[in-house]
Formats: sequence, structure tokens, C-alpha cells
Amino acid sequence: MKKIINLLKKDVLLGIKDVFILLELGFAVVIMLLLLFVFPKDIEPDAMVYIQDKTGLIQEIIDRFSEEADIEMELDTFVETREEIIEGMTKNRNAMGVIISFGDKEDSTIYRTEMLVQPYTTQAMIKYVEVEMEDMLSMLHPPFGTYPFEVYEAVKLTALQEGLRDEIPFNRRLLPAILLMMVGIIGMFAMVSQTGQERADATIRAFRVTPAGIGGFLLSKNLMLLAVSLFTFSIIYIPVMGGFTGYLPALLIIVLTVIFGSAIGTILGAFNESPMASMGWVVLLMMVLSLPAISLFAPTFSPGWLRLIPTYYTLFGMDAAMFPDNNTHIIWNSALILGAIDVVLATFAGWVFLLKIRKEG
Amino acid sequence: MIEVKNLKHSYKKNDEYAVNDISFNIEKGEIFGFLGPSGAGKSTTQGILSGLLEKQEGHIIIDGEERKGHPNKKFFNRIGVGFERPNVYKKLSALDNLKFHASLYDGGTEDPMTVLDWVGLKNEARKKAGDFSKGMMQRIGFARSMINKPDIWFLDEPTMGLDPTTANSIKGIIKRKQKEGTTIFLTTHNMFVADELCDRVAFIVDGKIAALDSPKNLKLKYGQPVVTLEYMDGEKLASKTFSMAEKDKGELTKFIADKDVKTIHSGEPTLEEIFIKLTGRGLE
Repeated sequence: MKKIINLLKKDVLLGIKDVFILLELGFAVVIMLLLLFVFPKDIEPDAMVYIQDKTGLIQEIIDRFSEEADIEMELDTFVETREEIIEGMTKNRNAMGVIISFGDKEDSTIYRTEMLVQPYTTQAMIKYVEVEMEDMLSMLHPPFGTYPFEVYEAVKLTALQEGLRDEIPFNRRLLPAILLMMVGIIGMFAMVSQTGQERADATIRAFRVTPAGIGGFLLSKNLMLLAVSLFTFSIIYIPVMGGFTGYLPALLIIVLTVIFGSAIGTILGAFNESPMASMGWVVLLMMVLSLPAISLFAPTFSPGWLRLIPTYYTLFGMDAAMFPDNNTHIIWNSALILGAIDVVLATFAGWVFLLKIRKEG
Repeated sequence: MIEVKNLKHSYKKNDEYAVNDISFNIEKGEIFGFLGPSGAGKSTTQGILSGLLEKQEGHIIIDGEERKGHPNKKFFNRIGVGFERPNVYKKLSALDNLKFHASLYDGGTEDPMTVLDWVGLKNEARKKAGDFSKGMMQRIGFARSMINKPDIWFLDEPTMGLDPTTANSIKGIIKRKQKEGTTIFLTTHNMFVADELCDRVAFIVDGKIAALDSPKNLKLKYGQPVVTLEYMDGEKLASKTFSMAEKDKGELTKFIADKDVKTIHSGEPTLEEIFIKLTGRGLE
């Protein structure tokens, strides 16, 4: 134990003098400040549709359904003239305009809609508004109606549930991915750098002819990394989350990820004598390990192979810890999977490192 | 104390041996030199003996106990290893380097400041090792290798890159440690260091021991003493060298009688000359 403490003392001292620890902590403060004060809390576009209703149709909908459903219409949506629509669209570049008028034959059941769009409005968005309009008209005047009103109400309720996700501020939604890159995988980079430096300076040779074993050598570096991770994690997590919500389970997940990253770094460090020789691999692996973040932000991208990347469990485990929603099982499943990977990988990494070092003499 | 029998080592694990079937023994308190050119197998032998390299073939017996597998903690507690390359934490001070290494041993250790004083670095003890010259870093490495008061001390080129004064003080420490009972395994390609320090030397070439004896015996056995005379040849001072072989002694006596001899110097061959004679190779 005394030897481990002395090793740790040396590694911390080297970490401070190598500026690694200070850089890590400094970056954590910068990232935390960026998340709090620069990154927007809400990036949902302020999209709106200006409506010029020449038919009284919208008012009819409100009158008809306001008693059955809680429909709130924003008054500034309605305008009187085409010029007002254009003025609104000039001010709000995300806005569109719809002019509803009666059909050419003055038939009150046939409406004409004209859409005013921005030059960059996508066809998908135009189609979406068209379908919404068609739905609205269908509800009011069957047989255009595809489904009974209850169906639309149900759809509306589902949409509200999905919408809960959007209530989480954007800067917080970024946290799992940022913590993965800033804290989780950084262990890989740090381990490659530290073992590489010990090999380049041949200090590991001097260490190997002492009674302290390579196991202690690697353990001390891992402990140092975990201590730095604890600080960097807390520096970012607590201010951005505004407290300790989900702190402990998220910390557990990140600790397991740091061990995973450091085991990969140990293996890379075993095969490459200089830290620079490993950097290509580090960058490539960092890219692969960050892939699951796409799935976190775009859940429709979730191919089966993505679950083979251990950081998938880091991201979804941390996400579940930070934003509780009856999803505790995801945290523990992720922790179990990462823990099992750590046991196997850390043992393998230690074995490979020892084998390679002993062959070199 | 240390007995090595039929030691073999191949880095590629084929029949290309860096160390090829060597055997020798080292007595307690002896300075045993391994003399050979670069790539001869000196450092590989030291690596195997010190536990840095795995033993592939052969026997290593220390204090009557044969080594099986990787050496144990007890062994590492009693050895010190000085390397050819300085191996210091450049971001730490000389003193912190030694304090750290001292903390890794189970038994008593030297006081780091005292050891730094021995190698002439007391005044630089708190300076960052990375700012030191190569020779100064070499001295920290040397100091580190004896921090645990080893009774078996492996030294690889301990005076390489040092100025003559510092080299002399390092040699003085080695001799002092020998007197205290330390067994020293010294690998070098410097014949003067080997000649001055070693009780016995082994010449190693291409992984094989070509000769093993004390420097004195090797010179007597394989060398030929000579006498060089300086004499007046007319107005000029000239010199001539004579072999001390029995058959040449008459010629020498006649020359002294006939010429105006000013100086007479006897000389013996150097270890390097013996090495070249025995192996057909130089030491560089």
C-alpha cells in the first residue's frame, strides 16, 4: 500500500509538472463555462406559421373544439394581409405563411390555400404543412376527414409526451457526449502518453528492477486518472446540471468508462514505444467510440452494431442517470456491461503490457 | 555467489542467439567485468541476470538457489542496476528521483542526499533533472542504482560520457562498495575501466565468451611485454622497441651497450590488444 501511495504521489507530481492535470482541469472549467453561458439552452428553431384566414375557418375550428380539447392559439399567428405575412417572415427567418381563402367557385366546402415559404424552406417542411392543413380541413369537413377526432386527439397526446424530451435544455442534453469525450475517453490518451513517456525516458526499466511490480505501476496511473476524472467530471457536471441530480450513478458510469479507456491506452502503449506512434490509433478509436453519440441525438439511427461499442452504454447510462424517467434499469444495465468489459479488458491490458515490456528487456 | 551455466537467449526465439551458451561464476565481493564490443551480448546477459529479460535457456544459480521463472521480490530488493542510458524523471528534481526510488524498497536504503553528495550532485539536488547535462543525468542513474544498498550490483558502462574527474570519483565509489562486500557485475567496452576495476574479465564476442581470467593473467598469458629505448642517433633522439622474449634479450643487451641510451621504458600489452589478438575484433 505504501508503495502504491508513493507511486501515486510520483504520478500526480509528474501529471502536474507535465501540465496534463492542469490542462484537464482547465479544459473542464472552460467547457463548463461554455455550456453554461455560450451554448444555448434551447436550440429549437422559433418556427411559426403566419395565417391569413379569409374564410373564418380557423375561428370555426376553435369554436368547435375549444370545449372538447385544450386548444391554445397564439394570437400573433393571425394576420390580416399578405404584407403582414411577408413582414413577419422577414423578421423571423424560420417562419412560413399560409393564406386560406375560398375556392374559385365560391363553394364554402372547398378551400384554397396558398403557402409562402422562405427560399431555403425544404420540400419536406412544405409537405408537412400541407398535410397538417389537409388534416385540419378534413376534421372539419368530412368526408375529407381520414380519422375521427379522437384519433387526432390521441396523436396530439403522444406528441406531447415526446415533447417532454425537448424540455431538457440543450446544453444539458449535450452533457453525456461531452463528458464521454472530455472525461471518459481521455483516459486512453493519458495512458498512452504516460506509459509512452516512461518508456521513452527508460524510467520504466529502472522501475522494473525494483520490488514494486508492474501491476502497481499501472494501478497507480489508473488511480491518478480516476482522481483527475472525478474532478473534471464534477467541475462540468454540477454547475451545468445545477446540482447533484443523478450525480452518483453518472459518476459510476464515467468511472467505468475511464477504466475502459485507460485499458485501451495501456494496450496501445504496450505496442508503441513512443506516445506519438500511438496517436493515429488514439484518434481513430476516439472517432469510433464517439459514434454512439449520434444515436443519442438522433434515436432513429440505432443499428444493432452500435451496441457493440462500449461507449454506447456510457452515453445511454449517463443520459438515464441525468434525466430520470423511469429508466433506472438502463443505468444499471450499462454499469454491469461496462463493468464486465472493464474486468476482461483491464486484465488483458495488464497481461499484454507485462508481456511486451519483458520481451524488450 | 552467482553461477551461470549454458545461458542462451534469442530475441527472435530462433537459432540466432544474442547470448550463446555462456557459463561463468562470480564470487562474493568480486568485480566481474564483461568486456566486448557493442552488440556482443553484454547488456543481454546483464538483462537476463537482473530479471529484465526472461531466461530462455540455461541455469542461473544465486547463493545456491536456482532461478525458476521471473525473479521474486527478495531478489529485486537486493540488487541495484545502473543502465547505460540515463533513466530519470526529467520533470522531477534529482532528490525527488532518488526519494521515489528509495520508497519502492522493503529494506533500509541510503539517504538520497548523501548519495547525491557522493556523485557530486548535492548542490544540484533540488534542480529539475531535465535541466541537467547527460553526464549529470548519468550520475543520478548511478546514484539511483545504489540507493537500496544492493549486495549484487549490475553496472552497464558506469563511466561513459563522464569527464575524467567524475569518472574517477565513480570508480572510487565502485571500489569502496566492493570493499564493503558488494558483488559487482560490470559490463563495458572501455578496457581501461575494466583493467582498473575488475578482478576478472570475460571477453564476449557474438554472444560467446572468448576468454575469462584476471586482466593480469590475460596479459601474461596472451601478451608479450616490451621494452622501449630512447637513444641518440647522431644529433637526433630516436627510439626502438624490443620484445622481452627470451630470444630477443641478447639483442637488447647489445643495443644498450652499443648506443647512447637516454631512457628505458618497459611496457605490457593493453587489454584491448589482448582482446583483438584473441577475437580478431576491436572493442568499439
